[in-house]
Amino acid sequence: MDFIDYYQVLGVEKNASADDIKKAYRKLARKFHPDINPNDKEAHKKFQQINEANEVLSDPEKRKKFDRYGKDWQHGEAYEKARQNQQQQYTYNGEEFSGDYGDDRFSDFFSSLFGGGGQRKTKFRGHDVNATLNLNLTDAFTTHPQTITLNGKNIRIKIPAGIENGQVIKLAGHGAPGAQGGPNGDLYITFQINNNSPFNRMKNDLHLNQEIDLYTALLGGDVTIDTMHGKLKLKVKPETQNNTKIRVKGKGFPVYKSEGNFGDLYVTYSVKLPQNLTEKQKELFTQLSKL
Amino acid sequence: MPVTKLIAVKTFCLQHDIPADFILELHQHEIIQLVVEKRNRFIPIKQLQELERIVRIYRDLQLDINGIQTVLHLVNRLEEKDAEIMSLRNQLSFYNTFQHK
Repeated sequence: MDFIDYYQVLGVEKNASADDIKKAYRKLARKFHPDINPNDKEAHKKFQQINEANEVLSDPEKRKKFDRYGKDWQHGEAYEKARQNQQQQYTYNGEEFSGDYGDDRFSDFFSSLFGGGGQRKTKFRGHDVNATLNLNLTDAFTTHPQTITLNGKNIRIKIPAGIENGQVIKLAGHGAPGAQGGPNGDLYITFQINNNSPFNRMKNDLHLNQEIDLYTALLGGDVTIDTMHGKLKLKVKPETQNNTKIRVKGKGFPVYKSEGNFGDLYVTYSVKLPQNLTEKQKELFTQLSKL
Repeated sequence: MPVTKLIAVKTFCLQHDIPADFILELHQHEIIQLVVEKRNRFIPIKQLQELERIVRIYRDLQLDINGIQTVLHLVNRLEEKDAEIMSLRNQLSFYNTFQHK
């Protein structure tokens, strides 16, 4: 448990007036407020500290106690006595924030000094919870239910087909429980998609490298490939060049939340030259080269 | 016919301890939409999350309607940029993977 210098947190001098504290607090709150810094955990943490510092320094009683015992909180019976006394008498009537920082919004240091958050008049929404869910690309191809376990609680969710790597979905009310009768926070799930397929995904399109032999490339023919939609027979035109790319419409990845719509599949032909030629083959290639 | 879930302005204001005038002002500035039925005003439930964010900004940062509008505009742009970064990262990863195959 580290000592937190609330004056330093707010960037004010020890002899700062109540007005200075209020001004410093407002300035920092506007900078680090969670609602204007979405997905910024550092800003959320900083805001919590600012809020805590303000709660102590804007209250003359608490400020007096902090000034007296704050630095030496680890020592002496006096501190302990004061703490116990504070627990019994503490009633808070100051300004309150209503942001998404549930009942763990006070540091251990604050709790030790003041015995927890004290009585509050405002309802607090539980804080938001972030989680990561790993998914295979082949799983992201279809809409499917999945049960996730969070803090011992099973949550059943439906994962829509076409979800992207890094995409975040919100499950309202599945975050930390609210305090003082406030609502629960939300659960934010970030999807991390692992490519377990031979395809490369670019948004809704899929890309595939397909080897074809020299004879099919030169003379044309059929090649059967495995797509995410099943097997597909492609016609290879005669004299197909190496790295020729073809587009197969609608055989790509599903479009997120747009049932029945798919991206395209791009197949790049990679012409494989024959190896370990027989004498006969060499002779024929030599003849060809002289034509 | 699609069903729109609504919450009464009165209930919302009571729950959040804010004046109903504030909600009406947001409506007048077209920041939120309200539904009027039998002389009562309602908030469509799909706007609830955004409205709660507005209330927190209003209360915590003590901003007026113009300030809130500016903040919302900037936060929305920030969120759009985040989504763009995510998409670009995925594209970069696509090209990197493709190069190594």
